[in-house]
Amino acid sequence: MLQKKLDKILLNVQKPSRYVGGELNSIVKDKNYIDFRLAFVFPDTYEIGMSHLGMKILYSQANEVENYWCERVFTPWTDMREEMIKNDISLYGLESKDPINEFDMVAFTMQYEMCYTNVLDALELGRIPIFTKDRKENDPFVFGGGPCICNPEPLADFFDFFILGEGEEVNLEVYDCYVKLRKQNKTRSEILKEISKIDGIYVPSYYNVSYNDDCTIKDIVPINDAKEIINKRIIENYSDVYFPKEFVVPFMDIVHNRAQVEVLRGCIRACRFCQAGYIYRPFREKTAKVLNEQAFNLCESTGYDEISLTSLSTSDFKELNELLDDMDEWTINSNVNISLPSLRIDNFSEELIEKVTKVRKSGLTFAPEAGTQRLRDAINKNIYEEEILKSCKLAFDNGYSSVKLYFMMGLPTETYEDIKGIVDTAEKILETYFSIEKEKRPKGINITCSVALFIPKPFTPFQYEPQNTLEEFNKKKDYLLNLKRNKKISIKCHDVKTSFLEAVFAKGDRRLCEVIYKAYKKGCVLDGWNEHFKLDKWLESFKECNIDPEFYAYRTISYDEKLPWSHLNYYITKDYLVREHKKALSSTTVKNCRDKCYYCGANELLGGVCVDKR
Amino acid sequence: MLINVRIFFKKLNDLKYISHLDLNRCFLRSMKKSKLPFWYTKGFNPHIYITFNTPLSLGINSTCESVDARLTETISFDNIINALNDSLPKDIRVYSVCFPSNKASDICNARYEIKNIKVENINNLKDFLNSENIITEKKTKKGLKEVDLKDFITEYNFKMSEDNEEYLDVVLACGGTKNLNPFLLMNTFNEKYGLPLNGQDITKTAVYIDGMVEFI
Repeated sequence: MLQKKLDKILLNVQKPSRYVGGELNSIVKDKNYIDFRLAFVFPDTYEIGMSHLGMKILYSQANEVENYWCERVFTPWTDMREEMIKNDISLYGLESKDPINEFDMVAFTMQYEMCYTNVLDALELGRIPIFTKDRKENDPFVFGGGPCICNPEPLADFFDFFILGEGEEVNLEVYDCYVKLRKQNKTRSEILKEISKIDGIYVPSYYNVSYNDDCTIKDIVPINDAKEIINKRIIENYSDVYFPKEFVVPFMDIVHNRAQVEVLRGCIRACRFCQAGYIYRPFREKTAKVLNEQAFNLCESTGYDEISLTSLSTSDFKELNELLDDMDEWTINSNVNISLPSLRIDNFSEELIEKVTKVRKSGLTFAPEAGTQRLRDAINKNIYEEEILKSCKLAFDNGYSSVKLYFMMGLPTETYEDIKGIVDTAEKILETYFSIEKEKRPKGINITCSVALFIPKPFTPFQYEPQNTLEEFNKKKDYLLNLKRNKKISIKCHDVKTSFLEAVFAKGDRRLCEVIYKAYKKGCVLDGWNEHFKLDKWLESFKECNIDPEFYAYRTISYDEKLPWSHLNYYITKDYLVREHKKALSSTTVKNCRDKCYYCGANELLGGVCVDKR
Repeated sequence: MLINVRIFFKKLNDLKYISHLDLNRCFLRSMKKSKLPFWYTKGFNPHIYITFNTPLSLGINSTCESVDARLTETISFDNIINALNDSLPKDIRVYSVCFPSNKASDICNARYEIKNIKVENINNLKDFLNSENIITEKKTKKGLKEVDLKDFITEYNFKMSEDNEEYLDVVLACGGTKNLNPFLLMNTFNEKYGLPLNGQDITKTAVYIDGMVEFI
């Protein structure tokens, strides 16, 4: 039935292969032997979602349970969406092609604030009531996890529950609880109540939020004996955590089409703008032995010729050299390239670069983030110009002719001098390149500066800071792009308008639920894609709901203000964040966690100071 | 010492929606996964050497595709078939392996079964194919050109399927110099009679060199 409908339309849409499944290693089970069906939605296109490691882990893990079946769902592109609506085709799981409202649960992994309307889109296309309050006995549970869940309030009206923190243990606890209670014929609300008792589960409808006259949060009150504070979950024995032996191998080219292993979680560096570095603490590493085996198994089962060692900061992995040596033993002979994204400039060594270029060179990326030492100190990016130049020279000496640099604009305490520093840094790197003898340096140098726009995020010291206004950003962008520079240096800036909305949602509260719904009804979807982002419709929606978006993005927040996420515990204390914020304002740096502990609060989780000295 | 082999495979069901580039990528990975001794190209980006003998358009299934590769060791054809099938997605099935006889450039015709033609349209299709000329615009390297599709039709027959449905079995020119995509033929028909485009199911069932001899 559905197959016939799909055959009618798939040749009329772009890249139809993303809507049919059938990929190598995708899991197809017989639904007659299944007790629990999970539709795992990555609320963006297939190309984006299939590059996401977290989804692969949770998909494989759920499917390892014989009587559970997890399927993948992605946001259809606009042409497919139109055809689906026209032909009465519900959003379906790729493996079975069954409509998602026939599943027991629908999970969303929330990685990016600009995907919020895609959630509503998936629910509507999947014939599931968008608002939690409208869901009936037979409707699937809708839950969400991922980094955005550290402040999920703008999504509170649409989700039955949220999972805080790392999913590898708690997800199975939730599924098992559900299956057990279903067999006992418990009602939907009884099951939700039981699930809410599991550590790390946050049921937004069990909390009443009240506001002061100035629109700040007055109180967040639990009802129904709900927990006052919800604590995030972490995997303690991280080296032994579940990791898949197989990945689904997409047919089409996607953003990251390669095998990936997760080297470590958390980060020791404490860059003050970086939410991920804080919310994934404490810092934990796997062993080289475990990683080598995981990498080997993945390449064997997929036929991928590239393996990426991913994490927030792979070069901080204690056993990195050992791992690379172990991997050399099989990657060279099997023509598999090792990719090392996220390298730190200050420990990029001759040894490391030699190991990385054995089979094929991937590009080299560094993240100075700020153009002057003064600003780097304020954001606690502890790298120095000599290190930047030394690492780039090392790259050039080893044949890399293309270097990508990540910068950010709009950081707290930034001046125009700091922005000029971006071009100055790139120029100095170019000078370093030209200082090498012509015969000894690689041909065709190009330096790309990718400039993001700062967005203040919860659980960072900069959560108290406002974002630059649209006018300020545009002025700075013009200034930067008009600075005189060598033509071998290219500068790319992120979009100003989407960055504004991202800031609004990042620090948003429940009053935004109504705005998101309105904007979705006005046709806002795939907001993360420039060609589809409709700022005017969003501003209309804010106006109609009588809410000023600038309240969330442009306000300096006082230390005493009750924040929309204050009932969620990510083990980063307010005291620590305030201390760090004050240090930032005076451009004072702190050391990394291995050298000194500043008692952020994550140490509570593993008992004592969580990272041993090197 | 390199051994040239020709691998015949079927591309079934939903896999009609993957592009030629996707298929290429898929084979490279599956061949690598199979651990068979395929030869890798040398140079900057070493990969297993393969070459497909006919391009297959998006939207068409096939029971007769072939791809050529090179082995660095002798290995039984059965082993190759099994190892590849274990490593390929389920809707790509290798069914035969042999030493290449013909060259890809010898290919000049391909047979297609065109199904899902509604009963009420069959007579129109017969008239359409029986007409002396079928003039339409075809994309060539130099732009749009007016052509007579009948020049590209080698033979055609209407047959009965096992489900008692009448379908079109047609042989069309196929190859580098002269090639007709069956979608162009059917969509010319669809447009003429106001039918939805791409509505038929097309499966390629044989590939021929000169004299209607099967390509091996």
